[in-house]
Amino acid sequence: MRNFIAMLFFLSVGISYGQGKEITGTITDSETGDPVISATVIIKNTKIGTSTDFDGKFKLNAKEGDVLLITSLGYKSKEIIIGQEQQFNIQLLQSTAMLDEIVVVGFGTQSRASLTGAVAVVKSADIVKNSTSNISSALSGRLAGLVVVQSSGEPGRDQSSLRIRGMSTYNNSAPLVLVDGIRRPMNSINSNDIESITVLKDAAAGSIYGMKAANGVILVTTKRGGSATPVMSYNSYYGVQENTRLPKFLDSYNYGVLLNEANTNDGTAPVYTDAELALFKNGSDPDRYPNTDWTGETLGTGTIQSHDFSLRGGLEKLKYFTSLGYLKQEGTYKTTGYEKYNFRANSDVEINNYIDFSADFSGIYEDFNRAGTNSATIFSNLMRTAPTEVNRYSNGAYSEKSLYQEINNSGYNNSKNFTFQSKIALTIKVPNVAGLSLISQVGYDRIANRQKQYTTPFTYTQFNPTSGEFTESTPSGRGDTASLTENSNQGFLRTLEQIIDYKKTIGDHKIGGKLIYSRTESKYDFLSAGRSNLIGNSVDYFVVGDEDTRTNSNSTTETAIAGYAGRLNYSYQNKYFVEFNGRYDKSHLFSYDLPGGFFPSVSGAWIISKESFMQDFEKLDNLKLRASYGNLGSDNIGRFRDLSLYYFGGPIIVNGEIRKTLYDNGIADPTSTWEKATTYNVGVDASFMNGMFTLEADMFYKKTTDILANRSLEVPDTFGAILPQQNIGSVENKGFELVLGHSNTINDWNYFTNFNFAFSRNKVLEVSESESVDDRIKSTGRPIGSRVGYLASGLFLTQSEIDALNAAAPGGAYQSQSPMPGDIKYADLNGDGIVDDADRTIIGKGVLPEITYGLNMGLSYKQFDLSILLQGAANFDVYLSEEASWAFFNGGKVLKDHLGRAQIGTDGNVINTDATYPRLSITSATVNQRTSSYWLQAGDYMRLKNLEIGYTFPKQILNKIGVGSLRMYLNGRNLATWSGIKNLDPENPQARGRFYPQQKVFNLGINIQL
Amino acid sequence: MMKNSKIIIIALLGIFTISCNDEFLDLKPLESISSENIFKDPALAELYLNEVYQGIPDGFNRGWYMLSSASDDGENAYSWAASNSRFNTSSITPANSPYNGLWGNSYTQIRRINEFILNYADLAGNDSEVNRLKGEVHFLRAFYYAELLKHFGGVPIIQVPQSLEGDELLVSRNTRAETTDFIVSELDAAITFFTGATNTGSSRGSLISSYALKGRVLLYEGNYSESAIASRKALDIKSALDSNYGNIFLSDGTDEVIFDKQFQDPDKTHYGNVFNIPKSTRIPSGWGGTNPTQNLVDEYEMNTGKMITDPASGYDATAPYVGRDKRFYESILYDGAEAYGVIIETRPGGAEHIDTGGDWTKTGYSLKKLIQQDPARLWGGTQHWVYMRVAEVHLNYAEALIESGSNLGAAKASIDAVRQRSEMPVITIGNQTEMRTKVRHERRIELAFEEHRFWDVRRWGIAGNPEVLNIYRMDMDTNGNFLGKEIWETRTWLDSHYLMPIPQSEMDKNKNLIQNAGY
Repeated sequence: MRNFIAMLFFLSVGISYGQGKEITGTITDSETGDPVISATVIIKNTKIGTSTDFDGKFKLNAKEGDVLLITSLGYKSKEIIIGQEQQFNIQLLQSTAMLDEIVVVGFGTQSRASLTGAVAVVKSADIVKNSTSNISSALSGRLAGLVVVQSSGEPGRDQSSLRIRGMSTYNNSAPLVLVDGIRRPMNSINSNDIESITVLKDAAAGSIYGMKAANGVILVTTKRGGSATPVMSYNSYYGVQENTRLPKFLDSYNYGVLLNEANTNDGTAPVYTDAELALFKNGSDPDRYPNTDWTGETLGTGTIQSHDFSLRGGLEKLKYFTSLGYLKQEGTYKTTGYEKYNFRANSDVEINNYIDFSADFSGIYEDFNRAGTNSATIFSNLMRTAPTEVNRYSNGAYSEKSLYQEINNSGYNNSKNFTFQSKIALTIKVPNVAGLSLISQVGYDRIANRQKQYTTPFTYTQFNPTSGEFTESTPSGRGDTASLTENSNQGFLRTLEQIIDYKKTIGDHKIGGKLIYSRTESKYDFLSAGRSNLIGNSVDYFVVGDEDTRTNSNSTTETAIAGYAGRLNYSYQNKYFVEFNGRYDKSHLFSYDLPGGFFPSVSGAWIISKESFMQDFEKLDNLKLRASYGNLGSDNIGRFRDLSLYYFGGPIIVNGEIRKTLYDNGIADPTSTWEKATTYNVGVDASFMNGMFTLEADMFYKKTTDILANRSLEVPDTFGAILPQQNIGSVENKGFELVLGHSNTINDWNYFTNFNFAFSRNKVLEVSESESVDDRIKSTGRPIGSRVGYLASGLFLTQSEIDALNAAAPGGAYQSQSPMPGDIKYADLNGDGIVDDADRTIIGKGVLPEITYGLNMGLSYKQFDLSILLQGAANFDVYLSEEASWAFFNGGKVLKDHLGRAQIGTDGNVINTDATYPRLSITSATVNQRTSSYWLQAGDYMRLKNLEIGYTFPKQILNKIGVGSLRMYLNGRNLATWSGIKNLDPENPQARGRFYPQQKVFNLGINIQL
Repeated sequence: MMKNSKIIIIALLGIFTISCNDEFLDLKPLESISSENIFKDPALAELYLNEVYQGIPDGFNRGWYMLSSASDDGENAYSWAASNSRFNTSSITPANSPYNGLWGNSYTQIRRINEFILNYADLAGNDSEVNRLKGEVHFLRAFYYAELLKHFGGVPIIQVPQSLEGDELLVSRNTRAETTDFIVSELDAAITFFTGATNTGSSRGSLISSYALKGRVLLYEGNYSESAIASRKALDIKSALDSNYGNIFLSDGTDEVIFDKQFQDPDKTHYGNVFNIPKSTRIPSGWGGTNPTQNLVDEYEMNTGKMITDPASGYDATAPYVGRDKRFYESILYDGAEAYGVIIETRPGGAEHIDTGGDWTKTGYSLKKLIQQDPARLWGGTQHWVYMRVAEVHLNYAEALIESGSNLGAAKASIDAVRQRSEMPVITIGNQTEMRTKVRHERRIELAFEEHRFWDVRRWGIAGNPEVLNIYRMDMDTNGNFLGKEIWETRTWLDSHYLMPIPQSEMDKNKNLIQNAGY
């Protein structure tokens, strides 16, 4: 009886304990399926918990409605709400914000925890998502502090320019790019081969690269062999590309109306009668009164496809990674396309306990095909040719203005480039000296490029409007002939590095040191030949050319740089870190007699969160403060500036014979030396709640001195010689970066969001400028590249307004060029009553955006995954002029914007006072074509840069067919662009709008792993 | 084991020290010549001077227009060219002047010349060669300073290459008179060197070109008697004129040419043809370019030797292009002219029709003189640009004599020589005023489109006159009936535009420079 009551009591206690039950479960790694050992499983908001055993199993008492929180180092934490089940199979995702993450830094790797410099990393998965043929564009929006500008969409020539933290010098601001430690162009690598890209932003990170590192360093690391089971992967996508933005031109009817108005404004007779305008509108006589949409009829869509196959694995002593890749990209018009083949074989061999050997071989073969007429000419013609010109006549033949023949029948311009890259490294762990290794590596790259350009004249048709006759104009009829040129460029780049590396741990103290010797040489030989006046249009060899037109030339370019670098790092209790880096470099570009340059840096970090006084902040996982200071250098100067030399120039003709000319390369300056950049950086890294929230912030100040420039703004032209490059400039650049991240897992939903934001502003401190230059247009104290022009204060609206200003002006004219109502009024900034050169000022913001940001979001649920990247830039202006902005410029046409022009009434005054464009004119348009703020537009934009939706097939189905994983996805790039500039892409490089637009891509892809 | 590790450490450290040899960094230029030899070897010295010749600007390279379109002789077909947008609207400013490049380029070449003169005492070789080179360099210095004088007025005279340190960089302008005197002294030095030296043809300086330039510069500056003497000396060397007027400009070898710049396919060509060939619905079609004005067309006399306004000339307003001065047919394309294998139709609706927009001729005329009609030469023109020829020297001589009021008979002889080449009757001698009108008229016809009219209207002070500013075009119906002239535009004139402004960038750098009045 007593036993029964005890049992009831225990039962009731058990029941009243909130229906508690025993929960069991297994926790595994979601990718590999391996059990996760020692994962912590606790009931949220309680102290009840346990950990998993060697099989990943755990047991726990919990009740319905409790939330299980599972955490493990190296994985994202996961929350499970307990429902009816008692048995759980939980899978954990590997975390992307681990503190023990290994980051590639200069000459080696370090754990993220021990980093003292400002470093940003992009991983393979994020690079591959971008479905672009070049990697530089794939980085857009993903890294704080990297300003990426893509100025062309042409296949094979769409590389983006990269600047780390904006511009710090008015010379070349391109960063140093290293692939596996060797200086190689980033786009020579297959993006599928990349493991990670690290950007070293501050001095501490970059000073080990010394003289070339003043603009920051980008390190690209390729994949290496892995674990025992070989993994075969096949990745492929196929897509369609469209131009992001094209100008909206008006049709021929509106063109005619506006042209008539322009002539009326000028006092000349209108060009088209009402009957002719009606014919434009109804299109009944397309040969005489056409309505041609040039961009619509000439440009189209092109496909892009990529196939990549790789094998990654390892045996006991050998690890390997090999891949083959193929990419094909078509252009927006036929005959322009790009094909690329890549191969790679990276291997790591453990020869014995002391010696490791690695050998990397890779190569790329590119085939660029372009039309005989280059894209700048084609887009220039598209920007200019009026809609009143016929493209294709009613008899099917193409007109002289048509671009069809220029694209399809004007010959070709083909380049075939082959680059072979290799790197061999030997690492010797010195026996009996623990922690000391000696590394020797040699890189040898060879390029062989060949370009062949065959330009052929073509046939077009002319139409006589009076007689209605079509006549063909053939090349033989005109006496036009074809021409041919061939260029070849061959050479090599050789890098030799010796590294001594030492690591030692004594209790809580860790010391490490590196000593490096590095030397790089290159030599390229260029050869070119040509002939013109070829017979016929089909044989593209010199044998049909005219011997009298033979041309040939050759040249050689050599470079050499060598230096020593060293690093010393010390840490105590993995809490306090300090690092010293230094480099001593000599470059072939400066006088051999000058000493080399020494570039040191020091940096430190303190992981506050490990201190005892910070232990009460439970939610805080990690809080690290960093600071660094260092010097970097740059040798951005032309060759042989320290010598006074004479070169052969273009020929002159004396009495019918060719004679050579000699000219000098300017005044030599044997004392010119490198630019020096001093950077201060402070930063903080924090993560909260087991990696759910992360924060990274950096603030920097960078001063570049001894910038190489000449005193051409100070020395009058009467001096008469090319001035030497002297170290006379100085620029400061400051800004900050912020990266916020949040990720979480709730049941089967995983999501992350990552926002990066960067701001940088530069200012010219010293530049060679005459003292008598007006303050308003002085370059000193202003950002690099500030534009000088007039300040526009709207349009003149009435004649009386102009008359009043003229009456008050000394000399009787307020503004020269006799402006009329509807013309731009420029401001008289110095108050002397006249608008002249003294009223020019700095107009608008700079060319490079000061603010760049990216918002990266993703989520996955069971088999589906979605990721979105929004990227934007702000605080910069674009100057659009000539064909991109001005009506009828250069015989060109009109844009939709021109419908907002100032219309002049019979009284000579402007009717629509809210006009957005000056009055139309042909003969006196130059009054509005001065460089002025009227033509500046804010370039700020935001793009839906990337969108990807994927579906991973469940493992059960795949196991039946023996496939490891299979994922299909839909991906889009540059899908939407929001910007104030409507006619052209805001990353437009050119005031006249003559460039190949960036592309919008939609593609469908597949990832298979066996 | 210990031994092994020691060996390895020593070996690798050894590699470090061997690598210390950095001589591979001392790269030398592979395709260039060092400066020591250039001024000693006459062959290299001549190549050095060739670069200076290359730097002389020519009329095909002004910026897609010819200077004649900025004078009342022509109008450019497309309005964006500087002739229309800057010159004819008198809207040149120190910041936008089309001649801003001339200042910098001239001083760059002058510095090269100065460097040469500083060192030419070292030239080794036979006297004839060496003297020729010395003469050439002085001629070139005079030529460049003469261009600067013509465009800007008095300019800083720099005779020795300046050094980068020191205050002498901020030079001041010399006066017009000082500049002229310097030019004359340079030409005198050149003349001394050239006397007895070899002559190498028209592409390089020579004795006759030095005299001719001296005559021209002195004429422009108003020193008429000295000018006449210099021009006479030039004519004493060569005074014959080629019988074929049009061919002087298309063939390199004519005797009449004193100084020119030559071209050759494919090494050195120019775009003078493509931008001047009339815009046409037929082939070949060019950019329209220089359109001669009705003002100029009306200046051509009838082949009876009388102006068309003279009732006794035989001018028929219904057939205006019949029986004119031979030079008219060699200079101008008109409705009915034969060119490019077709009959030109500038009438409204014709293949090369007159129009108000696009690249079509604005005046009803196109340029024939100086232009190669061979379609193969469209993008690669090879005709030379003539700087000086004997006909100009004749006219300079005549004008100098007339202005100084002496020896009008010799002036008439020179004018007649020019006219007789084109089978025009001789003039009747008159008083100074009448002769002045005749020589100015002859100059306009003979030297049309050779960049003389632009400077002539300035030095004669007539640039602001209505007959120079009112530009006329032909009035013709669709059947080709000439109906007279109609006004095309009235240009603007500001007196400041007698001279070009000193570039704004130069004014910004050098506060010792005084800008020309009105800018």
